[in-house]
Amino acid sequence: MTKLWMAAILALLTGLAGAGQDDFRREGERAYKDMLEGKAPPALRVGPWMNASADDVSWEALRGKVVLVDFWGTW
Amino acid sequence: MSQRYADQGLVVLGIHSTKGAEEMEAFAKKSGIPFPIAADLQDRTKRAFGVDGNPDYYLVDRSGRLRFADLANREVERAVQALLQEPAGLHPALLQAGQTAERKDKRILILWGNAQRASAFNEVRRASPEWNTMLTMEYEFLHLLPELHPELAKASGVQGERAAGFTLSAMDAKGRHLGHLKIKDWVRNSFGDTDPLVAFLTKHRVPPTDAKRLWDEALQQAQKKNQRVLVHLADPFSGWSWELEALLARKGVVRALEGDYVLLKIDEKRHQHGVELARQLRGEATGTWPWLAITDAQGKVLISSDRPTDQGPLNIGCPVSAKEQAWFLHMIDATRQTMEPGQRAILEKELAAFGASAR
Repeated sequence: MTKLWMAAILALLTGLAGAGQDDFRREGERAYKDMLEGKAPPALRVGPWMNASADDVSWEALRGKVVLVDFWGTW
Repeated sequence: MSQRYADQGLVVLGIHSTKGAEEMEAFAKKSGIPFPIAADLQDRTKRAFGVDGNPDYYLVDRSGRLRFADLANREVERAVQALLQEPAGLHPALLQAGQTAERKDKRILILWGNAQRASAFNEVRRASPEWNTMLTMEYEFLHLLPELHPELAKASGVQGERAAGFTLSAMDAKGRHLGHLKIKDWVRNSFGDTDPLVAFLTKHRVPPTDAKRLWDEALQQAQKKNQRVLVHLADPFSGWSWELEALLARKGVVRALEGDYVLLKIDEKRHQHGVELARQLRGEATGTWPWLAITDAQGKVLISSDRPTDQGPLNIGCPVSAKEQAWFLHMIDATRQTMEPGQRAILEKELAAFGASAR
């Protein structure tokens, strides 16, 4: 019975820390992506930038910002 | 959305799939996409992020951590709002200093400049004991190269100066910037005018604590519950003082002592009136640190860590050896009132474990 209580309290505390990770629905295949979460993002291996210079959009330069990466396509 | 939240700190980056990338520029110009976009090179980025849909949204927080990998489209705005609320975490270069500063209630001081500047500064420190002591007691000191951490440097007030100058920046243990000081001309072996430096250090240090106030509060608490006061006279420069603090913070020790004792730590040199209070408890003889005393609820010393020996009283300091621990347990036995045998046994076990690891 104690173990159940401890698990419940632990779940509550984990939920309270940060933006309640589990409150937001994800999609797609999860195994690989779940491993990415909580860590530094992979490097962006891309061609020349439009509307910015490469220096402005390095992960170092973006610290302090919330960054939304939108993967899209026009085919 | 990129515009709506831009001034709260949202940056949107668009990564176009490798397939169809030749259309990207035209499309972007036509639709007037305002945010930075670039084309994925041979699907490398797509693979690295595990992208499997179109569009797919990934969200990175202010401290540089990827928090959401592939968010459901309708969740994106809500998640963005949530992350915008969170403060930026500590910059990686500051992690260790920040943790120590938090533990020891200090601020962080960064010297921005090359090795030559750092060495010149350190020479001046060594030649000026008074404020060097204050610096060491009040700040976790780091030397960083602005080229390696350009954003942190900019946020700390560094403006790419050349010549003989450098910048000192002060922050709290959480990395919040408090102020910076440009030092223009510190020539090797020239002490210059240290008044602005001392004023800067004094201004941004943690506000001094009054030992007398801590002592009065401890006595009040002891009187309310008819407890003793266990005073730890500490020296921030004594490693064993920090060890003793760690010992007294161990869960088993806290639980064993909390019934009968109010714990109080006084940083003799750092707290206001620290020296006075120390003299009041310890008498004129100062001796070594750490030093422990157990008093009654009125503040009268009942027993201390000065163990009687043939050569006179000898301060056991932090109890590590068997003899020292025996005396510490004697101090407890002589003053405890409601401590149960079970708790005393736990205390003894914690002491032994501590002793084994500290040797």
